[in-house]
Amino acid sequence: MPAMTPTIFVIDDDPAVRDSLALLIGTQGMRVQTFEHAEAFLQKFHPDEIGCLVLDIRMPETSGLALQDILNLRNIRMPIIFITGHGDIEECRRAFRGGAVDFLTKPINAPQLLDSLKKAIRISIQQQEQVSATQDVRQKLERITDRERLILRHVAEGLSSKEIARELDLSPRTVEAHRAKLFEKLEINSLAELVRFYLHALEATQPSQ
Amino acid sequence: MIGDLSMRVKASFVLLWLLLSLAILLAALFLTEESRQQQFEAATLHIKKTLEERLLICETAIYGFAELSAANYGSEQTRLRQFAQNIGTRYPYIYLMGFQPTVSLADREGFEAAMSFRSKHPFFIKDYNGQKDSGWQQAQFWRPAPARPYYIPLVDAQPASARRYDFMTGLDIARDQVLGPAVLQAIRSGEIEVTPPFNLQDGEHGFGYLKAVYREGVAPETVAERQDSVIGIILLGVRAETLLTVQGDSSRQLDLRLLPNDPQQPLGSIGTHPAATISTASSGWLHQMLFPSRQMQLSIERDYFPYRLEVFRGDDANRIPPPLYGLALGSGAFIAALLLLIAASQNNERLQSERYHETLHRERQQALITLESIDDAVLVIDGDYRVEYLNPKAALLLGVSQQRSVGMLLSEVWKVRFELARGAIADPVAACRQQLQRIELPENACLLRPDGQGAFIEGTVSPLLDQDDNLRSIVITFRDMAPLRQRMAEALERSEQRLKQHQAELARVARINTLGEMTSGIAHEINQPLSAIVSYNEACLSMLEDEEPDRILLKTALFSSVKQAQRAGHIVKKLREFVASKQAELSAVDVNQAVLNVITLIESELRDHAVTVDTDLAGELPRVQADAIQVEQVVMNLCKNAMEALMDLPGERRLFIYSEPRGQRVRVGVRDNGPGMPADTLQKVFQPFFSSKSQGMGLGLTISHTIIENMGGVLHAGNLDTGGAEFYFELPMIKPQGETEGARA
Repeated sequence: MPAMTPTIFVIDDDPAVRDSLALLIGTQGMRVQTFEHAEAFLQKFHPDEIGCLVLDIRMPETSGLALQDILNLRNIRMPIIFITGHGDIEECRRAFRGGAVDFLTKPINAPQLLDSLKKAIRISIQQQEQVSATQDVRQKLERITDRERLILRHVAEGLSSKEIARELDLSPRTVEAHRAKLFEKLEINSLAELVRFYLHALEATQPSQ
Repeated sequence: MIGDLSMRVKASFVLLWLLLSLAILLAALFLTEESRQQQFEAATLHIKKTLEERLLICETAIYGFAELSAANYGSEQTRLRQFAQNIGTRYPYIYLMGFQPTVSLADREGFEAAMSFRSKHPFFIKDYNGQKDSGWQQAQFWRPAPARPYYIPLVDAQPASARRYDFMTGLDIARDQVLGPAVLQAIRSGEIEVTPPFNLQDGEHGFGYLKAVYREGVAPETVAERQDSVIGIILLGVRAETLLTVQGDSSRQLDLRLLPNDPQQPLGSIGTHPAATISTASSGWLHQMLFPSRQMQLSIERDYFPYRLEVFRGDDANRIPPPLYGLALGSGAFIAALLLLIAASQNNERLQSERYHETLHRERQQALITLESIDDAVLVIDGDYRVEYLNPKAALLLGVSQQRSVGMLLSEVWKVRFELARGAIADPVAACRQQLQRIELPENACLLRPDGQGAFIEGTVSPLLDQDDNLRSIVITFRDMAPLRQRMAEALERSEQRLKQHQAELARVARINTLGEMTSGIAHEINQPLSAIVSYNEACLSMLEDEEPDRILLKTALFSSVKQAQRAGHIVKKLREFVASKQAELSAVDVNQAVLNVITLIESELRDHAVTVDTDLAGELPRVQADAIQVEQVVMNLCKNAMEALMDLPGERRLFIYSEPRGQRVRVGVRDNGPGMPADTLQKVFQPFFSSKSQGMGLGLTISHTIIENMGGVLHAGNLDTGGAEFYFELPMIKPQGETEGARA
């Protein structure tokens, strides 16, 4: 079970930079983990973790931009803050296109870094919430039958039981029974909740297909 | 082919054609001469025969008339007239025929009266006293005949066409100048007689046939009896020209004449044409030769006929027939054309032969000159190993005389051994002679020269075959390997030198670029500790805000910070050491050359950023005591700074680089038309790690400054009044005495 506390992963080949950043971030009350290179991070890292990456662009072996590409390939959307010795416009452009949150030059301006970190953590939490919500919806969807799913759609679209019965060539009584079952299985109490669930389900099932 | 001939030759062939035609014409004429002669003779004979036949007809006519006259003497003369009419019609040359009776003096008056009565016209016997040829018509010449024993008046002229001679009626023909002698002769002889010719009214000639008619019918024995018994004379007039007119092609071109047998005869000849046309005197000798006038005289076999026939072929008969001209011209043209073709082909052959000889000569010359001038030795020997030829190079290499060697044995001039040969080597000349193939001289073939020295040679031995593939000569070509080896060694050395130069050049360029790369690397190096220091200190500051700061952690952070500051200091120290350790290699440097080198190096960069460069480099600038590479590093650094200052400039971007002497120094400056530098920047521009550029390291100018100061010079920065910035450095000139200690210090 991953820790629900956000973690800042600092990856830089220079131990002094790594250490000083860890100390600075630590003084702000955030959890920090440091890695000397990208490979070490990839070994330890769990996809469900919340937090962000502080990544040096220039590193021997795997560079910061290369790691960004790897994570994107693995569909890991953890926010990344890049740090660099001297900014290169081309690198900067690549970083932002790959979804970077910020691009900071050394020496690091502390308030700027902390702002970016907060922003990144917020993004990370949202992402994680979205992921877990989607998972919940999916689990619940697996409980209901196809007929119930059909009725769920019609109910969510605002049809009355009678209308649904006519549409599906069933008796209104049967539709009512199915509806009660749906509410029970999906742990829903009101029609509003059902509509909300339906919208989540659309969202969750659409990208997965 | 004919076109190759000259105009003169062509013209002479036209002339030849004409001459040939003429010659053929003449030849044809000569060849046909005999046949023409024969033709002529045949024609002549034909004419003679015709003439004789006609004379016979006249004879027959006169006999017939005589018989008729004798039989019908004194009676009706109708038959006679009919006979005469018939004869005159059938034979046009007989124009008159009549019986002229003898009248005695006693009977004269009665006869004259009877005749006047019959013809209703006064009739008298008369004489003619005028000229022979004219005056017949004039009455004055006619006189009544005087008294004579007898008269033979002209009273009868048959046929009717003869009436025009009526004016002569009554003429006593026995006493006439012309007719008289013949009449008397006819009476005496009783035979046919012929009168001399006389002129007729129409200009023709005529002569008369006479025959006496006797009372007894036949002529009495004696002349006296004949004269007594004659009762008349028959006169037959003949037209000479008509008589001579013979029909037929062959005779048309001929002139016919009757010549008197007796040359004394006064009347002369009678001809179909005037005698003058017969003359050939006006024609040239050629004409005479070609067309000899033909003339033939034939006697007529009539004893009473006092003429002989002359047949003459005149000029008109000798015209060359046009077909002969055509034939002559045609055959002449044919022969001339044949000759022309032969001449043209011979001319062609001659030209080809000349060309061939010329080519042969030229090729020989080329071959000879080539052989004489090539740098390879060529030696030609015959099948018996005797030298046929050697070129000057061969003579030189072999150390023999070119002339004297010819005819010598190969072994006398060409001594070759094969050094360091692994196995036995066959004599290449012998091998070539045997195999009739080109043989390479073996490696390490060594030529022994007369001076005892050996020379390595290479070359080939080739057979020279004749047309039947038999060996004619052997050609040995060879060359001394020593110069080649030397040249190869030299070439190798030269290329090695070039390689070294290139390497040096590459190294130099690499070193110039090192400064830029170094500053970039240094920036990264220094940025790391700086970044760490900033972060440590920020962390400390943050911790200090806590009510109870973690002192140990604080201390650790500060300690780390100090360590990183030391690290940065260490890097800077190392950099200083690095720059200082670069002991300048001072030499005489041409700063202009350094500037030009740099412009070449950054050319593509200038182009990429659309920066144009103008230079004003002083000519004959004294050299400076400096390190060439370092000067170039500084110039490049200044140029790159200027280019970076121009990066954000819209519009024209210009660099201006100049050099000039300044007292004992040489100044090199780089100006740009950029925004220039603010005052505070200008003060700090040479301080380490100061940069006005977001990505600048702040080291380039510092290092440049250090480099220039190390070489005893100064580097200045400033703004131009016209806008833009200027950086320039000055370096000391080389003193003429070569005193350089100051620069080294």
